[in-house]
Amino acid sequence: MLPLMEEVFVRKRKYLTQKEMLDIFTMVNSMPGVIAVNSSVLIGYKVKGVRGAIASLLGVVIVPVVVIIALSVGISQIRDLDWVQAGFHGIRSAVTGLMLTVLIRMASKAILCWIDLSIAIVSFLLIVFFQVPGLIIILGAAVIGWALHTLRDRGIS
Amino acid sequence: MIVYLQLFWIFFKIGAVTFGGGYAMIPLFQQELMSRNWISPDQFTDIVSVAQMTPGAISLNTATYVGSIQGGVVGAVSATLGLVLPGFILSILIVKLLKPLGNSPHIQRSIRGIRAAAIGLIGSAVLFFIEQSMVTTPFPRSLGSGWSTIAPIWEAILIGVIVFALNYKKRVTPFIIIPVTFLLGVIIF
Repeated sequence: MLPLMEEVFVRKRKYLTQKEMLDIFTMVNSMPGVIAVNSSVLIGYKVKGVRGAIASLLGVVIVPVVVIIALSVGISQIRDLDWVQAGFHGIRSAVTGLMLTVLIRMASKAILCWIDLSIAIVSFLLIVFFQVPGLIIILGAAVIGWALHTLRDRGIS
Repeated sequence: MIVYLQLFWIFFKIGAVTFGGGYAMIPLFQQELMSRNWISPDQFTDIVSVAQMTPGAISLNTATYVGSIQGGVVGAVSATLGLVLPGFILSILIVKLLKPLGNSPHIQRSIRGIRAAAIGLIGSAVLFFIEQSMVTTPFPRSLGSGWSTIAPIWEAILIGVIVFALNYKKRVTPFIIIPVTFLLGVIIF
């Protein structure tokens, strides 16, 4: 989605410079939430302020929302049929494979040292074996990540 | 009314703390929804699968879908707004007031911690999907009993491995993979 945004907003419409677009993508990476949505909001804000941001938000959300509402109603009608169940079993197996790709790709970017690796492993164990709420794991990781990386950076310099 | 507020709040919380993209949100959705008994495990995997093949971000699609099941059109809109609002507010705040904050090494270190945790959470989502598709019963969470009742479903494992190889090595997109594996599922299972 991001390369498409660059194509349209930088090259076709010339709303933003290459540099501004890059700044937005960098910013989005250190923000919570949905990446595609946040980038759209930032682009909209840059072009036309708060109104632009709201317009972009609506633009990026409306089509998927309408499609998903229609699909959810449609699927709930046929979900209990045997052949649909069987088809979904096929899809579930495929999605497992797709998620493994995502896991490996993201891990290669996020796990850069033993601190990252230990946080990832501990988080996995906490959620799988102790059912610790994910929100608590994330907040804990923010504190512990900050503390360990601060210690390590001091140790080096 | 209360269900709309609940939907909004659940997704708002998750939207406010999850860094690094939609997949890290999936285990959080799963926890919140299954602990309320709103959605069964196999229903949840079906929702995520549909969210994956529909255009738009997977986290957004999942939120809309869950909202729609739980509270119709208004539910879908509440859940979606809840998920995107924290990012929307923060985007504007960051540009307006807090620009230097994002570059602070302290914030960057915290974000690195959150990203690492997100990998663990995505790992748990992968485990959950394996349990829902490739074995007959979920793995027990202890070493002792329960392991003997688990049998692998080889056809599902084969589909998963092939899809992984095609997607990882050849970058075949979900838009092709999902319809094909649906047909395969209808034939095999």
